[in-house]
Amino acid sequence: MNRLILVAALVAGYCPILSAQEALDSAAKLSDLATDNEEPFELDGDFTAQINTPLEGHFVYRWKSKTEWWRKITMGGFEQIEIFRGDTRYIVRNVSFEPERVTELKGLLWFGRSYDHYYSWNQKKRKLNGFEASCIQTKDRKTGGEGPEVCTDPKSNQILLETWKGVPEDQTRREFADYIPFGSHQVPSKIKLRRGASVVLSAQITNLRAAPFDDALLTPPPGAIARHECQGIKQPVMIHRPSPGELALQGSGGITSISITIGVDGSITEAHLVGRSTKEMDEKVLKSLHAWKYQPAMCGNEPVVADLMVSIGIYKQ
Amino acid sequence: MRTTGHIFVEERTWQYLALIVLVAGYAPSGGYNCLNLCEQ
Repeated sequence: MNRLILVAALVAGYCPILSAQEALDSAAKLSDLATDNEEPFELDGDFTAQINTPLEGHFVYRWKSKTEWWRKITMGGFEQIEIFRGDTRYIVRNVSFEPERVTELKGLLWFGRSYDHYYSWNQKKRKLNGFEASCIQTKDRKTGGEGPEVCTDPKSNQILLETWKGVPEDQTRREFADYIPFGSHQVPSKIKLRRGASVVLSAQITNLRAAPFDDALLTPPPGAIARHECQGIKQPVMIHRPSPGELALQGSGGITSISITIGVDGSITEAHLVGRSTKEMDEKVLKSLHAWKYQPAMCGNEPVVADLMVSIGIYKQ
Repeated sequence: MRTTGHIFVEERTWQYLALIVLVAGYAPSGGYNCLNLCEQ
């Protein structure tokens, strides 16, 4: 009887879905340096961010454990230090908001990568750089919409590519290459972010080694912004969106990006325009902000303040 | 009326990226036609 059920499940295609989820988790674990049993390490690297012109930057990580780490990112004249201690992230920066490319860089360099926000939906083989990759299409658990397609090398289990395919003109692709071994893990040393046809970020790790952690780094300087970020924090959920009518444009479209802070009541307490489109579109988006409403980020039953980078894209064809 | 284009919202933190398609099928004239992706 069990054999019959197994055969029926195989025919129905349930097993590949299950194994796809396992493959995703396993690929994420391979490059996850953020495991508690690892020794402290230091990681440094350089990056180039394309804004209007290319801007050079540098990143430095000092890692003790999942709940104790230090990170510094510089880009042009921008500098930001983040300290994570316990369940709070402290932030000090020399301007009032985090530039869009820096948020994106942190997403690229997120070595505690996990796909918990998504579930596997479909799996297929695809030619990538001349060999056969295993590509898993995911769906977003929060929105039910499309998550990334994650392509891995089935032999090494290395993640090669993440693609958000929803919007052809602004397709987001994260490319990972030249893996280097570190303990039981492997970490991509070359990472690129493409948006549409352009490479907007290109990063390279120049140093990764085990190193003792200096606990003095964990003292936040006076005036640091504090964000309560527990393990398993639930991200804010947009519950009232701008209506299409509010965003109707006479001129051409594009992408406007804003950095927002969402208070414990779900309202927007701070907003900065960080990525400009046309003047008309930027003004429409900023004008629509008063009507946006979120379910706040949650740590268990406690609402917490959270920052979010939001891009509104309008494409006319 | 021919409707093309789309409006989307993308939300990002350093641990998460969500793409929400608000309107698929955007009329250049300013009208809208919500196809199956609307309010996904």
